[in-house]
Amino acid sequence: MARDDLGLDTIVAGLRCRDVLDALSDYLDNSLLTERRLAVERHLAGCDRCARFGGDVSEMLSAFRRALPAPSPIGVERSARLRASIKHAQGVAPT
Amino acid sequence: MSTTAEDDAALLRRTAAGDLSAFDTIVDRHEAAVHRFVMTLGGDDVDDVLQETFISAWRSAASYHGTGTVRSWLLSIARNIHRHQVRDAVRQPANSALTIPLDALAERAGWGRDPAEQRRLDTALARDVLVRAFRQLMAEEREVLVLRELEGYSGDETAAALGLTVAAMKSRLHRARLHLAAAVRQLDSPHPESGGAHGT
Repeated sequence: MARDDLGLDTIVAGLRCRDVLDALSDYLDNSLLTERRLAVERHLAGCDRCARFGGDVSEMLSAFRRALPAPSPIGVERSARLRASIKHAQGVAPT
Repeated sequence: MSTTAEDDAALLRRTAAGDLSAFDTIVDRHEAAVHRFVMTLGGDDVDDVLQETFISAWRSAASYHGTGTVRSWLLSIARNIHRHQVRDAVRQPANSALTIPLDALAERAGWGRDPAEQRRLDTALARDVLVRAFRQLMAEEREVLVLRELEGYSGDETAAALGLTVAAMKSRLHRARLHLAAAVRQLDSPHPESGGAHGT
């Protein structure tokens, strides 16, 4: 059951904060239909808590994309081991 | 469908018909992406997962029906092999993290926080905190974040790689983002609570 001691059922510009929370990822991915996106933006313009939270999550995701180190490339040796194992499975002598 | 995807599908058809050189091209094209994915999933058996993935793909080339890209098909194979290996090595704890109500998750992630709460994502501390927070997440959450946030795959391709509908993938992505935010907030707190982001 949904709880509302957080104030998520507060309605601003015709939308509950809970609805904006549900739509947040799609909003950040710009994958909401135009009408829905505009409704979310009207809510955000009048709701400090949702605007702050959305900004926090967006900022965190940007930092995450920059922060997580790219995995090391496969490398010549690992690639060679991969190809040798495939050739072995295929019953073909590695070249 | 892109030209590359059509070419890949054709290569797999040739592979299924016994053309080994066609499969060599599949390996050339996708070994780097599959390797990155496996590396990010973690574990000590990167070579094993990588090799089993491509050997399995070669053996089952005829089962590829072109409903997703070949890359997403390869990633789904890698994911299944990785999960089997992890499951074999360590019995995973029950995953209560995936069932936490969204309200509670949002609260942990900072919904309704005091505007005065200090946030340090723009400091040198951020990188370490974000990496540690990511590592706290469940495998299902790490997978979807890697594919969408780091690899930049489309929603369709991510869903196909994870064996989910697009709607289910979006739901998982949303929760994964909130979990990540909750873990970051907990780790970034001057007085972190015990129990981690998935504690109750």
